[in-house]
Amino acid sequence: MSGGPAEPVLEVRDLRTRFRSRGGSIEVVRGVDLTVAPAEMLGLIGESGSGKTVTGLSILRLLPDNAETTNTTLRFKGQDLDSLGEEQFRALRGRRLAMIFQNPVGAFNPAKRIDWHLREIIRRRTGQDARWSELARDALVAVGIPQPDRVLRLYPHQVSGGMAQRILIAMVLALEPDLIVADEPTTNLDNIVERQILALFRKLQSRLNAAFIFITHDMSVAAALCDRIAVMYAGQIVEVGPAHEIFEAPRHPYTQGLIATATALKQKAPRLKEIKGELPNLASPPPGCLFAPRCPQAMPQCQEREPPVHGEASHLVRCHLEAQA
Amino acid sequence: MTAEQTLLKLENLSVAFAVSGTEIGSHRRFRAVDDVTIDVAHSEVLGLVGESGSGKTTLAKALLRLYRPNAGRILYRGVDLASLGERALKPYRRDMQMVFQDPLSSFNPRHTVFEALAIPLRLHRICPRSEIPERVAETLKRVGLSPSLKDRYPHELSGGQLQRVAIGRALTLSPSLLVADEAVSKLDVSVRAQILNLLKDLRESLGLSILFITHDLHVARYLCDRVGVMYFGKLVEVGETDQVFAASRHPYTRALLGTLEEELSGQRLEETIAPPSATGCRYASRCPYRVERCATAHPPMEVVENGHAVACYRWRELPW
Repeated sequence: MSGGPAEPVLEVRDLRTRFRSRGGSIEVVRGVDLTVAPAEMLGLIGESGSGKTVTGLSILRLLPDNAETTNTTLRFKGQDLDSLGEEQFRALRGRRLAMIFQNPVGAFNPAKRIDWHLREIIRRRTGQDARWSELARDALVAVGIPQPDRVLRLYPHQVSGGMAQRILIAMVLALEPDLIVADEPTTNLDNIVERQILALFRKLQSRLNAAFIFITHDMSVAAALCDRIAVMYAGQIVEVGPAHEIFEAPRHPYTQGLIATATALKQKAPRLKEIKGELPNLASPPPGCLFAPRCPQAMPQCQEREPPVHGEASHLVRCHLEAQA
Repeated sequence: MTAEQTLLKLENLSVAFAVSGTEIGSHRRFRAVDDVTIDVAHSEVLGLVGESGSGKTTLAKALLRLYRPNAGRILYRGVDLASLGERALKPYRRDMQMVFQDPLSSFNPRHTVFEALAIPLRLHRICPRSEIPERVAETLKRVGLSPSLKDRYPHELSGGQLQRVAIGRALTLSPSLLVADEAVSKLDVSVRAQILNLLKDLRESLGLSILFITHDLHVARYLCDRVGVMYFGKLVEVGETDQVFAASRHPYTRALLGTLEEELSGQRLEETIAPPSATGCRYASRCPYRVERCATAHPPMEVVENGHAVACYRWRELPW
């Protein structure tokens, strides 16, 4: 959707994030470019260690102290985020930018009831306290919570994981941010609840007109939910394009592998397709393509040169095979 | 199933915990596993599926006698483990091994892989000490790891490698039954496929019986011969994998099998968001097909066809 008529909500150019440790430093996000349009849901997928969570945290400046982002252009609705100081950025985050984490219970203040949380959010958005209880109740009803008045009086530990995630979504709904980063928001939930919550995300997105970055390792979830999908491997985006194209005609061998493993389980294949091997050690990355050691289609040049990005603006692939096609 | 084929049979097993009540100092009993009867044959993979809190893990821990059941029998090779003392249990403990969900927390962080694999051999005096290094190397090879990993510490291995070591550790004692509790749930899709293939291979080469606990029905369908579905302590449906997946009768099983696509397009009858019912059918509070009768008592298991049973009053009349 880059080049579309609407100004993108978020533009990320050459995002690089390093972690310092005793032995030196490791670059875990290695030059990520992303664009998210208003009301667009972008799926960011990859296995653990691929850098997808760190990408989300980098955008929201929520990195731990031993990590730093360098050499990056981040634009939010045309505004250059790098020029903002900590104070100004914090005002933006929690108002125009929001993040939903994997563990919903950890996102609450355990000493405060649910109503306190929603009241804070509503006050932050409207700048006043009037009608907050009405708005809070509406938000809970909108996420399918029966008996909102009862739930408002509960403490976070008194609600189930699925309910906590619903309440968190209600809080986002009440905040009406422009950009929401959701990091594996349903991974800890049972599958019926997961499905309900995912459907809720879809509803929420059309209602808020917000831009969404949906981080997941589940290809089938991304395909059902997202407009576009960016596939991350070892800190880089190896393929990005419209969800249906990525799912039906994946071009990068890693994407093909991810989809094959995800769909083989559903089709009761006699044996599951595996992606052999493991992520490379980014402290000493292999030369050439980072996926080459695991790639079933690797060619001699893959071990020598890093592949450039091929394709058209709407569908990009970082693979040497593209040059031959 | 004849008695000879049965390795393990749980009869009317119940496990209850005391939980604090609404009044200070008051207690009530919470039945985490409630009157469950199910069996596992030699070389069979039985899947146990259900959401968190359904009692799958409690059931597994009770059959390994990590919890003491309140009622019912655990017949393992015809012997009732529920009534045995610790000393009499020891040979059975060796014969039944467990693999847990989070591999990192199931290892001692200060022990190397070698130590982790050698301790069970020493504890049960499986082989002379001099043979231990050879046994450890064999184990690592059997689960697809290089023996050179033996000097690593748990934090130096990836999740997938560590889960392989956990499976290797469970196998060092040559058990007949492996209990795998959400053993692939925390792993990435690509690594999950590796571990599932490994379990499938091991089951074929060693003739292992596996009790495979998962909340992921696709995983259960891939690996299991038979599947039992649990809801809030009750077994609600059990049968051959194909019976449960292609011809499921229980509304809860149907709900579990629903897809995100159906959810997004609104094709499904919506489940109510509600805690389980305390009286009557446990699932009634959420069930879109409930009728008055469902509030009377939890329905008994009824046989649908050979090997396929369901606990629902309305299974004959539901629209599938």
